Amino acid sequence: MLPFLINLQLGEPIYEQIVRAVKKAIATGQLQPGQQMPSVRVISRELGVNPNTVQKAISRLTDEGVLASHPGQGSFVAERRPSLRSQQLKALQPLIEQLLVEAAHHGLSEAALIELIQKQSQQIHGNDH
Amino acid sequence: METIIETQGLTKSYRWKEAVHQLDIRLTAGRACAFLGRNGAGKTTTIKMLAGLIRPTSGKAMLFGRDSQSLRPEDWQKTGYVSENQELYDWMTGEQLIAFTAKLYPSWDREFEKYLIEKLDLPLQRRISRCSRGEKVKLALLLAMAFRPRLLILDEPFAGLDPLVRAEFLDSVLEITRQNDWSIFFSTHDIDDVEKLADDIIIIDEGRLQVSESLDSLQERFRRVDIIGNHPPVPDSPETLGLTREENHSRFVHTAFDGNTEAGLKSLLPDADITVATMSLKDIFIALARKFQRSNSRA
Repeated sequence: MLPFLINLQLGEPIYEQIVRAVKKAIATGQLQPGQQMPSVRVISRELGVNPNTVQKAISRLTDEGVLASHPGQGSFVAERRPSLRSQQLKALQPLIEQLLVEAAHHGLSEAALIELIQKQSQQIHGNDH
Repeated sequence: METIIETQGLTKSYRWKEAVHQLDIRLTAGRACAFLGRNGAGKTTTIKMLAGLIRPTSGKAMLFGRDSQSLRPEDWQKTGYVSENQELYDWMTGEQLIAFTAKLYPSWDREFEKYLIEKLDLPLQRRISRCSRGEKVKLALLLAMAFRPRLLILDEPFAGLDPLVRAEFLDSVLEITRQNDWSIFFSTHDIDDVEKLADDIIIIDEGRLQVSESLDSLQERFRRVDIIGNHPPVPDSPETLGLTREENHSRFVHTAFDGNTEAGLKSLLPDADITVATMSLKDIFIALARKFQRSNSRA
């Protein structure tokens, strides 16, 4: 069993689905900082996908600082360090813009949107945040 | 990366038609390539030329840099090949045929053979003539893989297999990728199975190359676009496929989508609701196949 939940769907590149699943598992605490990731070989066998695809996902996660690779030992979930403000903006701004556009389309007020975000956040992080 | 398969201007003409026309394709080591096309597109003819079973009219096919017309036994000892209607010695039992075949390959791996027998759930004591089609195909796969080939060529391997057998077959094929040196070239109509296996996609139609790129880049550039609401006619461009409009709903496939496309559409059609969705390889293939069909009927 893999230490993160993933249910592959057709239609979206598989490496992107793996990247998202690992990030989500870290956000929910299913994967802990410092925890060792299964090898490319193990993930590829569990998911029944080409190892090149898994390698691409792991490289992407390593480039983004989500995973840290220790040569000869494999990949580990990186210690969470708040990224630079500029990096945060770069990663989140397009998503926030998309969210605001969709909210406007559906006639959702700003307050209602913020409430929705808080509710979803509690589901992901639990009530301790 | 080392080139494993290469064709240069590969052409095969029969008296009544040209099956393959000036085909240039390439597969490098460590990659899996899906070779797709409609029925009669020239896939099997191409694969048979790769395997040296039929002679090109012009141009050439090469495996490991050697002309397929002059492959030596040692080239076959590193190439596994499962053809569409594989003929096996069907008076033998599975066990006898495995023992017989193992002697032909110095690199035959007994452990891997055992693993595959179990994984593929093969009946060994039964005469092959009494085996189902699925069992025969699985046996052919074992015979093509147990010597750990550097190149595995599969022509329509999934045809007629039930979903469970297909899943076992696919998992077994993936075992080859755990070797240091591997490459896979396979043709199929079961496109849903391709997304998990393929790095590269080659699509041919009427014997001509139409698409040759990585699956990732193909999925990055294809999008289904829906435009709903009051909007002027969407201009038909070389980048759009299958444009249809019913009242206030336009729908098409964009073949060169990038980060700016959606914003461009939105500023062009400010009053419409625009939805953009990623596509499965199957949907991409169908959109392309419709285009091929139309351009052929026009010609």
